[in-house]
Amino acid sequence: MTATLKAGEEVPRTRQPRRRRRGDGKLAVGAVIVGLFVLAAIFAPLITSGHPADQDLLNRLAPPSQAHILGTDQLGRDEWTRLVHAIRIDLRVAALGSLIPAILGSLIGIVAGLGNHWLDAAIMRTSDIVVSLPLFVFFIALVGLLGPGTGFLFLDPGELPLIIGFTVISWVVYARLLRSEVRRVRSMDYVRAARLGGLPRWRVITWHIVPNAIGQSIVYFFVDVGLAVVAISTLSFLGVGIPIGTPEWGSMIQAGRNVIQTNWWLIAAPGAAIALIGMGLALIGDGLDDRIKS
Amino acid sequence: MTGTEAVIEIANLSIAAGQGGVTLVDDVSLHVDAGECLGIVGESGSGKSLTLRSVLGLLPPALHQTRGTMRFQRENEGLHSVGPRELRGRGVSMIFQEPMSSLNPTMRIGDLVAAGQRARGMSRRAAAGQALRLLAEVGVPHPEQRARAWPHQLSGGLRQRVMIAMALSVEPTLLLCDEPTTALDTTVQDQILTLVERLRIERGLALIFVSHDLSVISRIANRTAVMYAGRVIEQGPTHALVDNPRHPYTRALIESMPQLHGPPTRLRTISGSPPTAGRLPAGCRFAPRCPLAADACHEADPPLLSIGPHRSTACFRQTALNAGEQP
Repeated sequence: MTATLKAGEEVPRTRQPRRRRRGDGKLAVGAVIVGLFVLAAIFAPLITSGHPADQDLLNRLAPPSQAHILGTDQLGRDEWTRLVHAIRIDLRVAALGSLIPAILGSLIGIVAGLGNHWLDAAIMRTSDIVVSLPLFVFFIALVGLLGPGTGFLFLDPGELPLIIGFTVISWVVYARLLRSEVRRVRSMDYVRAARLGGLPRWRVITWHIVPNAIGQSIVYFFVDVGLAVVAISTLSFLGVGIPIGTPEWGSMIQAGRNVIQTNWWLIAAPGAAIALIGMGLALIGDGLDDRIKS
Repeated sequence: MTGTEAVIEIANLSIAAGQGGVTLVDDVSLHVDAGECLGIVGESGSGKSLTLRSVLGLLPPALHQTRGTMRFQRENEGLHSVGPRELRGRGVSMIFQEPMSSLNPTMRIGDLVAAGQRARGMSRRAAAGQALRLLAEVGVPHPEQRARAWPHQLSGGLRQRVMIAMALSVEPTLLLCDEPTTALDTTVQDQILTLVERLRIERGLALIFVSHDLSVISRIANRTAVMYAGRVIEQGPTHALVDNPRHPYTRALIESMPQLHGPPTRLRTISGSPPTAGRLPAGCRFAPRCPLAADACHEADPPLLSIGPHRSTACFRQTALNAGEQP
């Protein structure tokens, strides 16, 4: 078969398979782990039996069996059911407790990076103060001050104070990250070129500065969700935050602590869940980071 | 001054670091006519880039313009006094040395070229169409495909062409070129110079082309100004200036260029190094390095004087230079 090409006509090219990029593997593994957790949270009633508060009083501290695959706790509640239902609480609070400071902190960081000397100094000194707060003392004081509350919109009691606490603490990281990135990007030639082209200031910011500055904060967001999960469970292990009785990994570990000799899986299972979700989120963050840098 | 009307006239421009600080550009006056390319050549630190950047008010934060006026030609309005910021995106565009860092990596080529007009209220579709025409005009092959590419997918030469298309998108009458070929290899450099020259002729663009490379300047500029230590020390039509330099520094620059024709000769160098701004020698700034320097040169700074049609030089030792006196 012969084909002739007219002048200016495109040489037909065979479609090449998308090249694998650095970080693809980490991203895939991380996405699968986090995806499984999210699916489990959504379909919790389908993969567990009964309500997480249901008690089987005759079968307290039962070892894993057909009926209770992770056994039961001291109150005869099914450990697997509680473990899966806890995802809903931990992930929801952690995601919101990271998303709100991410958005707020990023905006503040952009303002600091673009603003004049005084505004920048005011924001950065405020962030220094926040960084110097002792984290857990601050949380215990804050939750004590606000009380569990009655819930807010779709949030259950005890969740809002945690999210407020996370917001007060972690906006600082995003603000500092964005501030330095904005300062870096601001002096790039393409930003200068855009300004010289007479582009209005807000266009320069939205088209040229922000898209090139937010990469690292997106990466950090995923790591931050993992850290928030750890923080939530640490706090409820200490009896702060999520009310006792609610299925939550930290309070499950706290409850299983007393029977570690006989029923070790009661703390191993929630512990593994925390580690696994943290690893999945960190892998996503790391994979995104590789992609940005390659 | 020439018969055709100037597009831009810069008069008595001085730039200093801080208030009352070191003077980096001293009393520079330049003009460019429509369809003309003015080359500015000089070493690093000679003030050539600062001069260029001050046109658009692009001085580093620590530097200030201490003197000088600028007049710019607008359609049917004649020469008007203007401040640098008024020219941004309205009549004057600029292209830079580094084509890598000059393109926003998060925007596609087509969007980059269209951005200037989109910001001026042109519809998305019209701006995209104009971007394709511009990409074709600057010689980007397969503009429809390239418009969808990201900057990192293009070679250095193509990126520089995209930069030029972006600069042209706002229909400038004056294009400022800040060493746009320095980061490119010689073949690509030549292609870009050819393109810039074609645009000058086809669009009647006025150009100011800054480079440290006299061979690039002599290739593209109709008229050349030589800068040394913040001052213009010689100015004239490029051919006349290269064939018959009237300032010892210009002559030394030309002699330090490798020649392709004629018998191989040892390249000349200029002894010493350029003076540090703020610690300028008394008298002529080039005197300490000048083989022809006489007593007068160490006492007073020679003014830039006209020595013929469109030519001027700042040298007391004209006659010695003309006599072909060699060190």
